[in-house]
Amino acid sequence: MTEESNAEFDRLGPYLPLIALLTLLIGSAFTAIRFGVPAVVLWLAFAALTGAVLLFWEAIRSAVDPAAPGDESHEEHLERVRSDLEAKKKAALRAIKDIDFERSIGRLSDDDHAELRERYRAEARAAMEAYDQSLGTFLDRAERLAKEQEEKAEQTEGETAETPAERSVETPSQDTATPPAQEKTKVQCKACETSNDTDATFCKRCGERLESSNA
Amino acid sequence: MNPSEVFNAGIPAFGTWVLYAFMVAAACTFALAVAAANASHKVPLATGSLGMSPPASRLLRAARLAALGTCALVVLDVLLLLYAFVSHDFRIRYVMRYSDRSMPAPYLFTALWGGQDGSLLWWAFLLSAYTGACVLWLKNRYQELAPYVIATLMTILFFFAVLMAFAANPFSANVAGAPPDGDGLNPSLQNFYMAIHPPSLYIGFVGCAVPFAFGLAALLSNRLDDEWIHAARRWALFAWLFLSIGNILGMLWAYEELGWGGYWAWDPVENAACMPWFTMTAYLHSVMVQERRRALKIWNLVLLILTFLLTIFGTFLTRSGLIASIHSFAQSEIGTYFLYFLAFCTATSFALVLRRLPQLRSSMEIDSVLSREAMFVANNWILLGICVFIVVATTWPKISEAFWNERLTVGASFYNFWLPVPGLVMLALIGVGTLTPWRKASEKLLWNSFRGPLLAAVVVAVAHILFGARLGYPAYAPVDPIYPSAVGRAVAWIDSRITPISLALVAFNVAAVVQEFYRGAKARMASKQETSVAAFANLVLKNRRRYGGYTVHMGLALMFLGFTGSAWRQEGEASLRPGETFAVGRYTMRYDGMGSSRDPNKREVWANISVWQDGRPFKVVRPSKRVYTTHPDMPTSEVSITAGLRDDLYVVLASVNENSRIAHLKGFVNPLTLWIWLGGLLLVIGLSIAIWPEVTVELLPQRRPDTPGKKPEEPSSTPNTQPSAARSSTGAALALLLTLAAGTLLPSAANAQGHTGSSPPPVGGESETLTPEERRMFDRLLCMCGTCQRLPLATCTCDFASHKRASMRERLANGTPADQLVSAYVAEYGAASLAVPPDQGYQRGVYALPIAVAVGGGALAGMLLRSWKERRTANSRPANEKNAPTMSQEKTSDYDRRIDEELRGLDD
Repeated sequence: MTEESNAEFDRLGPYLPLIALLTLLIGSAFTAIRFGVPAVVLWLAFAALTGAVLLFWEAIRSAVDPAAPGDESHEEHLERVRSDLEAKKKAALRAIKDIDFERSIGRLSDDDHAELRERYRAEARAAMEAYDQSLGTFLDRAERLAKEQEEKAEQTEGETAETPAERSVETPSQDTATPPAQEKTKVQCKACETSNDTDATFCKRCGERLESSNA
Repeated sequence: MNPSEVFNAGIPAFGTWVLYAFMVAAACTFALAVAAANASHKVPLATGSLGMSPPASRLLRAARLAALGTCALVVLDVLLLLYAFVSHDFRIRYVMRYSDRSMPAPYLFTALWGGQDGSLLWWAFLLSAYTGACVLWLKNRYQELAPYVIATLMTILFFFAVLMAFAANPFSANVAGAPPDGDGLNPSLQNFYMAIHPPSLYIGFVGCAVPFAFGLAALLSNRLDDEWIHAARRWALFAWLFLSIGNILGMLWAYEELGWGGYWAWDPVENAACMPWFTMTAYLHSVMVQERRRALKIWNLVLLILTFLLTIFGTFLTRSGLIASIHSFAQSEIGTYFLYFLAFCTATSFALVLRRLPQLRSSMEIDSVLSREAMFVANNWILLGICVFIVVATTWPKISEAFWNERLTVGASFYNFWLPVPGLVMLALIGVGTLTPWRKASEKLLWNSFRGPLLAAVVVAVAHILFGARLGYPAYAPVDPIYPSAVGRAVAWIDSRITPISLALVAFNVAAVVQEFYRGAKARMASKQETSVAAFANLVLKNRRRYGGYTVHMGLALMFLGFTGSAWRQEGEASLRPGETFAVGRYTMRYDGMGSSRDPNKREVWANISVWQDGRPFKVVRPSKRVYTTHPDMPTSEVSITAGLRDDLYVVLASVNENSRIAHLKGFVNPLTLWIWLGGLLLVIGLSIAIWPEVTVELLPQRRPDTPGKKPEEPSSTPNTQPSAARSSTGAALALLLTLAAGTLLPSAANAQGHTGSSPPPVGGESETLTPEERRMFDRLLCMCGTCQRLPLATCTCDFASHKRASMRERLANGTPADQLVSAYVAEYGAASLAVPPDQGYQRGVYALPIAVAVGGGALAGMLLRSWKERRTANSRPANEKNAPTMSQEKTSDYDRRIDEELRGLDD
């Protein structure tokens, strides 16, 4: 499998369960009508075999191929951490509600209630603080990423050999982040038509002196 | 050309091949999971780089995909076996043994787990279904635990793969080639309950592996806070639900199908099925102590490990043919495999617990022994005590054979004799635990919550003692000692006086739960100005875990009511010519004649019986006997059960002579049995209430939801009204479904139609009602006919038993002492024919050992409670604040303001 087709496959990702289910159902119906009900068992067995082969193929690819999609990106991970913290806070708040209720039906003494309440409040505070911190981390990271991309975009601008497909596999967000307006700030070499940075004196491809450099 | 023909040829070999592939796949997935775990270890989890390193992340993805692939292979194997059944591929030995061409299609499906090899594959299939569900559910959750969970589950799957590949291959070929037709399924398994009872029990059994995997993952990854508990909870509850359903369905099956008038025979397999239930129940309670008080961390892990080990041990008991049982499969070598696996699991899990022991220490303190946490400790003690008792008694025959070379049996009367008292202690603790507050109970608080239920208990006990006899439930039901010794007499004395206590405790529990609901609803009505109905509904919906749990308690109390009813059981048997009658309790039965029918699968003979209840015409019942063409030597009894809230009438046609038309009938009046099934239904409903919001977690307190929450910036001012309404309607739909299901499950008089004449005829015929002395004698012996193993001679309905009974009664009437008859029987059939091991010498160990363990455990629990209490007195200030993260005053108040805001906005 080439990298391009892998990327195609990955793009199908979210729809795969639906496609599999539809194939299964349509296949079952067809088999039942054409070959009788017992053959449906065989059809399902065939589907299970196909599923197993595909899953193992993906598993091996995931284990050995660095280009294979990981489980979650850094952003997704932060998102998860945040939702975990959010859930933690909610749980603590719920627990406070719960002990309030217990006290109201005479199941919890006032002292105990106060103590447990303080503990759950502390938990909620801790979760909120961590959340705020992660938000900070998130912003920092977003800024750093933006900066990196800017720099990278400038560097890679000249390398036209790189195909868009390849780039989309490695860093999918780069395409959208690169402002196409930057093209105009480049300088084109008269001899070989390679685009060079504006501050370049010689063409990086053919070595020809660039006319507009440091004019 | 039909594709079936192409594939048919290779199916047996292909099935075996897939088995090997499955084994290799499980091993590879295990390796991937371990690699993922190791890789993720190397990444420091600082705040700046929270994520897993790309290789770890990719490896985990690979492990997840490979786990799913392994599951797909197991599914493929099950489908192949199913296809072999559907296409009657008798080249495969398993298919030949457990099916035939005349079997209806649904039973072809049940044959998948009807025999040993298939049931192992079925087990692997369910485990892989769990694994698949767990892996999909884990997707982005608990990433630090996930690799270990996958590795643990793969280890278990690998074991089953090895077992099937080398010892019990369901695809192994028939040595003699394909016969024209198969042997067919055992007729007693061709029954509706048999089709649903083993799968649900298996679902429960296998389900215990998932919480176990989470426990091990916590130990291995050294993340021992509450995280794994939250992750494992729904899986534990789900497994517990199905363990309960499976056991209740098993009881129903025994009641409907086996025809000896009871529902629980303490058969080794029944015991194996209920052992994990006890440890899992203990876990579900003690885990709350960990959540509230951060204590019992080790204990909770140990309970989960024990539960899993007991499921494996239970399977080992069933599969190894080690102990004779009605359920046992043929003797085979797989017992050894199970034993090694059991040893491996025990060693690994406990080694891990020991390794993490220093981190698992808790700093629990309690103020009073009268607190809920102390009650949970007591509840764990009694549950574990009962479990140990059952384990020892179940394995005793083997222990005795191994150490003293003496074969014997531990029959139902042993359990029925010893267990009522611990059972009632458990029942009492259920109620007391429900009513006791956390931490510390002031006298006023205690009196406030206990007085209502206590009053109910006293009223019921007094009413029962005064008026019980008039309703046919005498105050005391005498119990005969199973041993002639002092111990036997003492326990029998207690057992005989237990019925009023039992009824009182049932009333106590029911009143306690009703009071909880009432007070909760009242508090809501007062604080939220809701109507009574809305308050009640909201109370349950907003506190599902609590009130679902209470409903389960209520169900258990009702089940105990049903168990108590068996004390007043009445029975009688008679050989009757048409027109003759006999009476059992308040029912009079007249045998009107017989009929028969035949279809390709079986032949059925039935007796028409008119029944009078309290002298009034009641109904016509038609118990029958079926002889399946494939198993002519194993006729089954289709009993007629007329269920009622007060008692069930249970009529069995033991045998009928088609020439003389003389029918041998047995009749049982089983008081209050219906309450067991009603209680079981309530238990399932209660648990469904408790488990339901596990899916839509938001409403539940003290739980870490797994759905992404809202952002903290937007306070939820009008939240949850819509979802909770939707959820309540789904809850209602679920309840309705369950009720409908119950309608089909509850025993009913399938063959009862019409009414009988106006006045009851005089009682005549040769009625065989056992005198108390005869009963005592037959209760001590077991039926040794070889097919209906382990049933007491007194209740067994087979021909051998009735002949034996007849001859022994004759000799007893002629003056031979009962003891002499018993010893003659034992001399003829060996010590294993005694229902209960004699109360002498080392055989006393069968009850002394568990009692010693329970007493020792009780002492340990007491010491634990005392140390907690002492610690409390030592540091009089609560030390919980020290766990709170230090934070500047300014920040704290800012967060507190936000918390208050959100709390106000939180719907409750």
